[in-house]
Amino acid sequence: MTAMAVAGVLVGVLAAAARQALSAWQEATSRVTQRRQADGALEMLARDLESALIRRDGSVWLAATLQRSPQPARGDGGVVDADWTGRVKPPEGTAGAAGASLHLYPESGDVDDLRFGQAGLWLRFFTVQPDSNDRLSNHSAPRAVAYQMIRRRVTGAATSAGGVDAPLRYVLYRSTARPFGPSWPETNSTFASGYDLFRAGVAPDYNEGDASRIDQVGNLRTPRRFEQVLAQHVIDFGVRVWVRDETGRRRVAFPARDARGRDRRGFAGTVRDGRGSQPAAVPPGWAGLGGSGDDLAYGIPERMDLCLRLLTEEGARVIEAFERGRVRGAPGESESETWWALARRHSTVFTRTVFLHGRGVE
Amino acid sequence: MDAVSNDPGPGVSPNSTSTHRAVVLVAVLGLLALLLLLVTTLSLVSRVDTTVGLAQDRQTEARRHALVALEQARAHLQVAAGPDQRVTATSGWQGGGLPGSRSLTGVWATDGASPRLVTWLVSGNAPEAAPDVTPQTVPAPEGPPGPDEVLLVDRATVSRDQDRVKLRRQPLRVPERLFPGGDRVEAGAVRTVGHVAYWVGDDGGKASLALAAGAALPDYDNRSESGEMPAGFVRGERWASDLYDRMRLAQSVPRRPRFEAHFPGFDPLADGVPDRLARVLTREQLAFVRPELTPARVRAAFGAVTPVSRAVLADTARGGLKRDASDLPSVASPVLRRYLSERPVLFDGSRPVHRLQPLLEDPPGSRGEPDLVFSVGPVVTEYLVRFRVVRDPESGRVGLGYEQHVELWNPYTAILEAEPGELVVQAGHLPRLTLATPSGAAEVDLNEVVAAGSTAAVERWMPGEVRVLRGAAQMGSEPTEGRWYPRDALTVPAGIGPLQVELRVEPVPAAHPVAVETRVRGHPLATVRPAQEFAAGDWLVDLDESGGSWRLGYGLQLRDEPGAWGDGTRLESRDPRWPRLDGDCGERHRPRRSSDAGAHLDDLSSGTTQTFDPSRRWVLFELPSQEVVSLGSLQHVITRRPQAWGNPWGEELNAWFDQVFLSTIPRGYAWRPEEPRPLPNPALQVYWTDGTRAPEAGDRGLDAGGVLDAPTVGLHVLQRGAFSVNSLEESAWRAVLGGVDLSGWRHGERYESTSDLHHAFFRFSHTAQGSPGSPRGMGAGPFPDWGGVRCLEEREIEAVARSIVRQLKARSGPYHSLAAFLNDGVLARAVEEAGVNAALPPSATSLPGWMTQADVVTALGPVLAGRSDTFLVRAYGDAVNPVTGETQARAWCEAVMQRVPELERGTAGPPASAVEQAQADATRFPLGRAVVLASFRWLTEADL
Repeated sequence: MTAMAVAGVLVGVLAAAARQALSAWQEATSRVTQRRQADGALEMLARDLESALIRRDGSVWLAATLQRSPQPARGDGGVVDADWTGRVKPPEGTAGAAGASLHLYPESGDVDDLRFGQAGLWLRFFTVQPDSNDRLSNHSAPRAVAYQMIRRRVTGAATSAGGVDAPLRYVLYRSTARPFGPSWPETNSTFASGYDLFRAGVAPDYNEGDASRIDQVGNLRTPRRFEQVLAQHVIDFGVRVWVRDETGRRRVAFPARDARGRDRRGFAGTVRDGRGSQPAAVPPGWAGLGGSGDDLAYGIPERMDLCLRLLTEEGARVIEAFERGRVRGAPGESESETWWALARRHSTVFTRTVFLHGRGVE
Repeated sequence: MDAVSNDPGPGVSPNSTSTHRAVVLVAVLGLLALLLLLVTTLSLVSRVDTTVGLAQDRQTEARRHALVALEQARAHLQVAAGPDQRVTATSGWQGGGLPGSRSLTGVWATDGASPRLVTWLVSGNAPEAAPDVTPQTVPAPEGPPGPDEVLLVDRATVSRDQDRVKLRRQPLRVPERLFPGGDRVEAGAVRTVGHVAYWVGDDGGKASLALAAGAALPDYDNRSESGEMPAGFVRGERWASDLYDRMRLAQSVPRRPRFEAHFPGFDPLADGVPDRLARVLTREQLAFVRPELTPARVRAAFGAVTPVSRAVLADTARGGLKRDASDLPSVASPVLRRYLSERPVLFDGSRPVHRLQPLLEDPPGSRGEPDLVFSVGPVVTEYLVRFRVVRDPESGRVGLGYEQHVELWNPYTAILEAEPGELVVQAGHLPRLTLATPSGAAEVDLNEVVAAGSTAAVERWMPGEVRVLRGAAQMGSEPTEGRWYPRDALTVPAGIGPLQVELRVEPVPAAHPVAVETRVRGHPLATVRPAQEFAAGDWLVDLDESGGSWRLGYGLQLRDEPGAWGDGTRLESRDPRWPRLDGDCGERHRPRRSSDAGAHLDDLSSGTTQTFDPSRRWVLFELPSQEVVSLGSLQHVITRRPQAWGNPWGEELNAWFDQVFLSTIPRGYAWRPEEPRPLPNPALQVYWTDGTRAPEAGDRGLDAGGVLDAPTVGLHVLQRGAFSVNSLEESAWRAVLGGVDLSGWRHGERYESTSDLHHAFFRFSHTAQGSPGSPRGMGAGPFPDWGGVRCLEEREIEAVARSIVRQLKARSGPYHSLAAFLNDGVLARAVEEAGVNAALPPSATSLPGWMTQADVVTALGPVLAGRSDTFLVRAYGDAVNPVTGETQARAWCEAVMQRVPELERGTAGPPASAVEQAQADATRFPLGRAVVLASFRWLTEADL
């Protein structure tokens, strides 16, 4: 009896220890997975940006613009599984407020406090990525690439939107426009659309969503549902852009405020004060900028600081539970504040500094 | 001692107790097994995770090492090739010994008498030490790489094994003290953490394919909105509204190399192709332009083709940036300034009309006379002045009747126009003469007789026209006689006679010969003075009131041999427009002018010479009709020998190719660098230094540093499509030598004819459409020998390219400057060896259709460069296991490195003003001009 009791206690202790160990292991694994995901995403971003192409010809070769807030139901990208309805990551709100999602100038100066809006930045540029070179569409040649954060239902259905019960996740997409079409004559590729990310009127242009086929130009705005996910549990994504000014010094061009103290809504990699005294022509009605380029910062980027906020697996479940109404916030705390409190508790901001090696000579 | 009881106690059976114990034991063991399994599983998962993470870390490390290699390459390039007085070229020079590999890029210093090899741009060589890795010692490209070798260029880039690049890996060693526990190892110990390798390819010796040039004719606007041009500039022009003006711009220089032969079926002017070419950023994209540019063909053309190469407009011979000769007020040579600003007053059909311009000379050069001269006017090719004794019937005064004949040749493709009385012909250095009558004698200086000169009553000379004028004070087509009486009146009253008068004349020595001077608006134009002597004479003539026979005359005649005036290859040849034609410039073979003054009595009639025949037209030169685009077209500037500029006999003049360039930036309106309108010079690209602001326009001064300030223009522009004359790639030369391609070219005096020009090289790049003569059908294209444009066939271009490369390879190293290349006559020999002129008779050497080196240079002028400034760099890095030495990850990257005009000052270099940057003093700025990464990309083995 005693032996059994001792054995029972022993088993209990062992089970508790095992559970504790397992929990710790899960937490550690989750953190490792989170870091691996972040490393993978940042590595891909870094490689893309290191190989970015830039010219001083008046075209917009790189753009990083805040997505709209609040997001439309299917987000700016219009992905079929995207869902920004109900309780979601809070909108921009008042800068500096605990529940606000736009916080470009944290007083602490800590990147952990940086927030890039409800849906983060939409970053796109032209780069050269190594490829298989077995077909023209797989040539290691310049292609447009876009990074954006989307809240979507994770579903196995390939042909229809996921049901309401499908888990909701914040994911980071990396979508590209192929360098060239698979055969002649080709019309839907980076080469066909040229190198001005803001240029409208070309068919197709980079601001018009089209997810009908993989690697088409329209994927930049509307990625495919599955193939182009780069990382999961990404709840914020942004960049800090450095340019060299006329005196030769490097300075932060974005985030920045305009002369009236308003936050710039993004950055355009072009020469506003160079070729063309007018701001780059933003496509009419595009991305909430009202067709004006006055809300953007301009310049030729030399360095970018990447910021990626990732949830742990546990954090993703907690956030989803909160968004589905299964978790309540503390008394007196707004939904937005709760969302951010949970997010901060279960997330880490990963950063990396990348230098754009190619500076172009025209 | 009691035995241990096995009694389980009351109520418990022994079997039951054993069973329980067994259960507990099994449970505990099972639990322990589960725990063990859990721990093992966790351990395995962690190990897999760690392994995956380690592999990622190793790959990241390999990439970092590749970036180290890339930075080493940049530093090597910077130190070795940054200064202006360096030239680069690929290996393959056979004059110095074994050829070895053809894929290395060498750097030669040009600050000495002859180029000195500095380094080969490849890993394993230190920038400032004698190279260890040479074309002879680099691993053979064929076969798989050895254990310490790595491929940097493989079959994904080139089509042949011998074009691959294989290098030995260089260990990347790090001091042990930098590692944990490193403080316990001995000082100086190092650890190999990986390997690096890099290769620098020379893209400046390749032809630029992605120079988009559509079928549309170029446009140009140099008008001033206010109507006032800045001081020193020619009046503004608008070359947009007139088809023919635009066509003239299009024929000035080729807008692109010709690649049709490299890519069969490829039509660069096909619908949409120019637009697609303009979109090409990398070599891989060439395959996107047209189906004919297959990836396999692009690979095969790796050595010959690059998307776009660019060069700093720097002087490789003396250092510093070239000056902009389009900025006229800053051009040091008054003659060149004047020539570049010369423009027709109007066009008569296709032919420009120019006003006569007096002589302008540069200060004397090293030979004691000016190198360059400017004037616009006809050339005196033959002259005669004759005299006879006359008596005024009323006063009885005895004097001389005289008459001058002059043959004037317009050597230009332009119409020369003169206001009445503008052109005066004046003989000089005539001897003294004695008139003796029974009543006395008078001394007469014949120079006084013709002192007033003779104005030419001609309004126009047509292109190449030879006209004979006759007269005294005024010359025209009908002769008029002049009369002159001595101040000391020599009178023979009426009614006396018949009477004889004695004429005695002094000799004219060859050292002080008769001269014929032409003047324009009272200013000198030229003097013709062949070294010809005239004997003394003594005649008795019958005095006749109405004149009588011509008794005495002096004449001169230029050499009746076209080659003496138009074939610069001949040492004795002279530019017929030279302001002082003297010495051996007179006709020697079939002289019509004797040394006997009594023989010069016949009319100077037409049709008796071969060269200067009024029944035919012969043009040798042109005058600018528009903005001058190519330095090669300066072959028409007046120099001692004809067409010197750009030809092997140009000698010192060819140094201009290293010292100046022609931006063609308009000065009439505010040309804005930030929104540059197309320029006549298609090879000019505005370059921006760091920052986002476009360069300032400047104040057209000398040191403001703007894009309009001649000494510093080069800081803000690059030569786009630059091609190094030291290129050893035959197919690249073939593309660059493609010439002008112009469909529907209109020509004829009234543009009445149309031709398609292919591979055209212009002698008269501004005026060929209006040249006299008609197509003879010889050779390819119109006007093979007369019209100033030659159209070559593809096989001829191929042969020229082959000859150029053969000549270059026979040397032991590159030319140190454009002047050295031109003065050596490489292109001239290539033209000759290729038989380009073989279809023409030997006598045609002086005809515009006889292709010369300068004609080739006229076409290539804007793109020719003395060195390369665009480099394709491949770098490699790997990461090794520090314990086993095993290579665990490898990475490759590629960058296009571009030398740019701004100076590399290092981290603490002295600041430099714009002028100092242009001059680039090698003592203060030993690193020369900055080498920057124009583009970068990561590679996989599939990309090599």
